[in-house]
Amino acid sequence: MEKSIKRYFPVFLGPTFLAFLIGFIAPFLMGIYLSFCDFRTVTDAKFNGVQNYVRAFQDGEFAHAFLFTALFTVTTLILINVIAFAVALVLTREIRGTNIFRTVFFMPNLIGGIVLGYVWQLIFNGLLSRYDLALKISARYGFWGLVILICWQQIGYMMIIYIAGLQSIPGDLNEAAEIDGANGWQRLWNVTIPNMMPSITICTFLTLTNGFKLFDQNLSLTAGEPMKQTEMLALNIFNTFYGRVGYQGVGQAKAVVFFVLVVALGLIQLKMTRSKEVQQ
Amino acid sequence: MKRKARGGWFATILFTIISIFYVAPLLIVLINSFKEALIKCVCGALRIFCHSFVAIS
Repeated sequence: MEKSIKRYFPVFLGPTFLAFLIGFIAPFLMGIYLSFCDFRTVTDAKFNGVQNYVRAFQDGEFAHAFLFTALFTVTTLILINVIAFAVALVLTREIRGTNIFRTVFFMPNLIGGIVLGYVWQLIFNGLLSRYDLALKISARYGFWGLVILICWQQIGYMMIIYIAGLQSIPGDLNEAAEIDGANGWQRLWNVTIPNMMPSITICTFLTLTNGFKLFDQNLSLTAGEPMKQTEMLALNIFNTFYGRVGYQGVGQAKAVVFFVLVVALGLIQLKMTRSKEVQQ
Repeated sequence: MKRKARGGWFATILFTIISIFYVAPLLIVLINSFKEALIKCVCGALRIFCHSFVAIS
């Protein structure tokens, strides 16, 4: 029975593989090819070697966007994971209303980034106007505004992953440590965190890649203002591609560099945290 | 096995307060959806930013 089904594997695999080829592999390869071309539309592309990459790396705004994005990602990675882990620890204990609190913390994930960006712009400007300030007059306000918005949005999501991880830790491990005389901190560092490493791997990977890929919140909250100082990598690529005529190839080259960067950082992070995972 | 939290009531009250603030931006979206789109600025000196205050004016 199983053998006769196995004979028909192309029938089951074929359509999905074809869709993957058309929808992902072909545009991806075409994108890499276009990054070496001068073009306005995909049909008038002319090969120009590594010129687009040279122009991309010479662009000071791209370098600034990279530094801004890296700083933003490190800040949000630490804040989101520490707060989400702490909230998950509290909400897996026997306190009243844990399910309601979990729902409330998860709710910001249900609304799109553009809407959230505009809502938070309204809130920040409302608060800052009391001191005759505004969100877009300083890169510092823009940076912390983005950090608050992303933390607010993503803490609930990471909290759910951490709660799932905490619930999968066998209770006897903690009980055994307690009988051996370990206090709360010792149990946290030596029992809970080592057993939580798979969840920590997933959450740090998600926050790292989400931080680098951030686009819609950046567009709606600050739009890169003042003077492109809060422009992140994805928005910089978008503005290069659509904002300047004749820079489509440079925008495409930046997108390829961006892809390589996110993949490399993601893999390094996965390798670093996976090596710390323990078997239960 | 669920571990009983010390000061359970304190945690509940604290998380209730945090939850109210946490959900406030979403409530703003909900409240604004019932408002008429009136372009009326009441923000005085900061007229340049009045587009941000349309919803609360």
